[in-house]
Amino acid sequence: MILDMRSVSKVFGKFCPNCLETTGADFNSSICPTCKSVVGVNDVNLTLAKGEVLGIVGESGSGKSTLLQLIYQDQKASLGEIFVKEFVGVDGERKNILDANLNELSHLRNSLMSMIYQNPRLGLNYNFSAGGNIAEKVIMSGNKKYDEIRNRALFFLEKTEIPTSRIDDYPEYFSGGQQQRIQISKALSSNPKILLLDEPTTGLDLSVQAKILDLIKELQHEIGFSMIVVSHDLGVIKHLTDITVVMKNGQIVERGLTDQILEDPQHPYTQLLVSSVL
Amino acid sequence: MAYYAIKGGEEAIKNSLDLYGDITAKGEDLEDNSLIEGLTFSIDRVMSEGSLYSKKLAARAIKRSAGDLLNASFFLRAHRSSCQRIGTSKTIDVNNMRLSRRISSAFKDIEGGQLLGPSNDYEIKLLVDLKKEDVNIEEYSNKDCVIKSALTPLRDDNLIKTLPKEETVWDITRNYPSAPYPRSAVLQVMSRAETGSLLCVGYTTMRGYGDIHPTIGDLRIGELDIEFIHPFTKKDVKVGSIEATAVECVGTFNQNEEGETKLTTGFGFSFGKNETKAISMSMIDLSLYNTHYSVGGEHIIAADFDMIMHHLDGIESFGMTNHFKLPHYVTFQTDYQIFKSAQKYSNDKKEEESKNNTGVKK
Amino acid sequence: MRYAFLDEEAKKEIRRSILKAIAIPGYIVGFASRELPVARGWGTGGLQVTLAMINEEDTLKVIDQGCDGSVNAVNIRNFIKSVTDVKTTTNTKEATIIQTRHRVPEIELQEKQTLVYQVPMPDVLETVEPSIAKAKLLHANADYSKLWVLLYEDTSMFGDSRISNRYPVMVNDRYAMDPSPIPKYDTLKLNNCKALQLFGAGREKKIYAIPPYTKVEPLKFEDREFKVENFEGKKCSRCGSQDSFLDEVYDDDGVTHYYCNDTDYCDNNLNDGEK
Repeated sequence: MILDMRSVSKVFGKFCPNCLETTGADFNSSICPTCKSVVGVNDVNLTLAKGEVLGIVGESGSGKSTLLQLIYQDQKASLGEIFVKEFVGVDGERKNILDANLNELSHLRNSLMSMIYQNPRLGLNYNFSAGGNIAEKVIMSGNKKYDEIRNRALFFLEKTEIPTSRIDDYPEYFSGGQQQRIQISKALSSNPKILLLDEPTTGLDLSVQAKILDLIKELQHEIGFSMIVVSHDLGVIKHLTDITVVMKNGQIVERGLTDQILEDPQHPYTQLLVSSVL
Repeated sequence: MAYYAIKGGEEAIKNSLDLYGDITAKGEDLEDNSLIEGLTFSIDRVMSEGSLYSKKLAARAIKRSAGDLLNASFFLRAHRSSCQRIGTSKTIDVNNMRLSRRISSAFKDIEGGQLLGPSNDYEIKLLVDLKKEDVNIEEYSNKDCVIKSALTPLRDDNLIKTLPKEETVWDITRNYPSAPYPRSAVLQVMSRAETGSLLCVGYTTMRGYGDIHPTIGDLRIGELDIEFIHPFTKKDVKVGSIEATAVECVGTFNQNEEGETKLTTGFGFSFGKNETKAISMSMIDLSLYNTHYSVGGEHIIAADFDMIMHHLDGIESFGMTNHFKLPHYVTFQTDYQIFKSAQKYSNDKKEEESKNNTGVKK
Repeated sequence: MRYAFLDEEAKKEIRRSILKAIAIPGYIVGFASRELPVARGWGTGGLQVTLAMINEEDTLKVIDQGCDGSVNAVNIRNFIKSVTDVKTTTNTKEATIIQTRHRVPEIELQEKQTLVYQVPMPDVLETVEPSIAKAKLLHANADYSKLWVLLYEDTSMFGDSRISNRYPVMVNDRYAMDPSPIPKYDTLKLNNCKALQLFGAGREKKIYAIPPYTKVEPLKFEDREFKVENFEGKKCSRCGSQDSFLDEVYDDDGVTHYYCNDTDYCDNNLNDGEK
């Protein structure tokens, strides 16, 4: 297992003893009746194998984005453990990444994992040029040779079909689709073992969406990293993923092979989702 | 030869100080008391920014600076540095002030009435002398006038939010804090701040850069006693008194830690008479601790602790601004060389690009 | 007046800060920073470090932009002398404490000497992250990515860093440090220096240090040269030196001359020449 999540929860607010037990899919609510806290993620268990592509699907508020943020540690989990292969403590034993200190966190976010956000503003620094953004990731993963850094940036820009002559341009001068592709270049430039994607194509034109999805799929086959894709769009999930989990009110209600889930959903909520596709 | 002139630094300094001395000598005959009594607001400002309550030293500093009040404050600060620290007085409660002036804009009438005291608020600013009307003061009382803050009724009704009290009061001249800054340190910085700088930042809150809507709850000027605990008798001993200005502003609200909604206040304080400073300070205090409700403005300076802690001190900003007059020829030489290299790089690149464009195709 | 102007409490606090700074090379230590009769921004940091350390056995040299006779150096030297009656000199070899603004002496310093730098802005991250609280976190995390990206962007546009003086250095492979506004020419002298190097920023209230024989490297890409100021083809009109940092001076007729910036070095060359 390259990623192993155990009993992970995230509660926004006071977090009383009733929170986890009185919210979730069966209650059709994420708000704790006792203390009014919002339970974003409710006791989730999840594993990811090497080279596997996992999809997380659900409607807005289901907790799927929050889950991703907990893995990347943009948000701090309230409870639970997350283990990443190759992340060990000083004793050589595998360590809960939620206990990582500042230096270890840096290593996790710069070398082992990368995240691609729905909004490129979250993943890119608009004060750096396109090349500068990619350079940042390459430098932080350890490379200090200018020519290698620059070449790597050019390599990924080419791979994501951004004209290499624009490497010194600033992100605000690119289209939305191009900014997303720069984000992808940046995320891949550090050779991550796990790529996290949060609604990577939502908001883009359909033709651009298709191109980016094809690109991601191709790169994943070529390089072989593991991937978690969060989307409310079943089309995206079908295109990219091998395995899917369905989330509702912070809990996983169904999991299985993507094809099976989409063709033969078991949980009533999944059935509702699948039947709602236009 | 030109080179040796550069080495005449010592001579140049002596002569320069001498010439400057000619300027300050012109005011030498001014009596300290004339300054203390006739230029009382200048004396007060220098004591406040110099962070040292001594009218005599302030008078001397003003004369040495030929009227440059910021420079005079600098003299006082330097002197303060050399003074031995004997101890810390008891905390002063401004409610015990012997008032010469006390107003509240928040209420039409208050206990003791609106005590205008000596004020130039209603002065018509004409340089030409107008005929002065005869003023007939009917009653005159020698009694000390001590009245609690006009906000006391609101406090007694538990309507005002109290900020957490620190166990020990910070002294930034002995220990400078880093973020998160304790409130006593923030207030100390503002109380010693340069009046103009404080005024500028306070002003921003009035022009939309922030979401506070303050009213002056209590503005007072008067005398405060300084008391020490006697080392042997353990009794309170009054060692002297100072004149000071204190302002409490009120007019926004917030939730405290228990979730209760309370009125929030800001506090401003200055040595001597300086209403502008105390008002500005109280509003910045209010702004710093009430940041959650602003919907306009990207960056609210008056709500940014880093801005307040590092940009308001007159002696620091004055020193740094003037330091640019020091020789910087080495640093400029380095700047110039880097510029030349960059220029060469650009030109070489352009040349290469045009060569590639006009070159014969293979 | 007390010896060295400062009261004993102040001296104690400054010494403790200095010791902590030496124990963690390149790490910025906060201190209370007393106000002095000299203005903030004019050397109060360097002054406080010197005054906290100096004793009757020391010999003091003060330079500003390399020159002992520069107005600021004269002023500071006279002040220190007036509160300590210490022996002063312009001879770098004789000095035990050298207080300097913006330059490192040309001749190599020895063990038992201390170089005290006057520092305007102590944090090298200030140019890319003005918030002190955020910068502190970056230092704690050894996250100097912003500095590196700045270097990358400059190299792409201009072929090299646009930083002319205050060139960032990496101390002991751990902290990025601001060496004060010394030219790049001097940055290489910080590495493995036999003398103790102390840095005082009075207005910003910070002290940091490089103990002797510490590794100090300029922050640069491995595959790029560290270019320093170039004086090729020029020599000092006074002593003929071709291997020192030179000042460009225009005389009354508009003719350009070059002279050694380090006046003591120039004097020594002249004396050696005469021998």
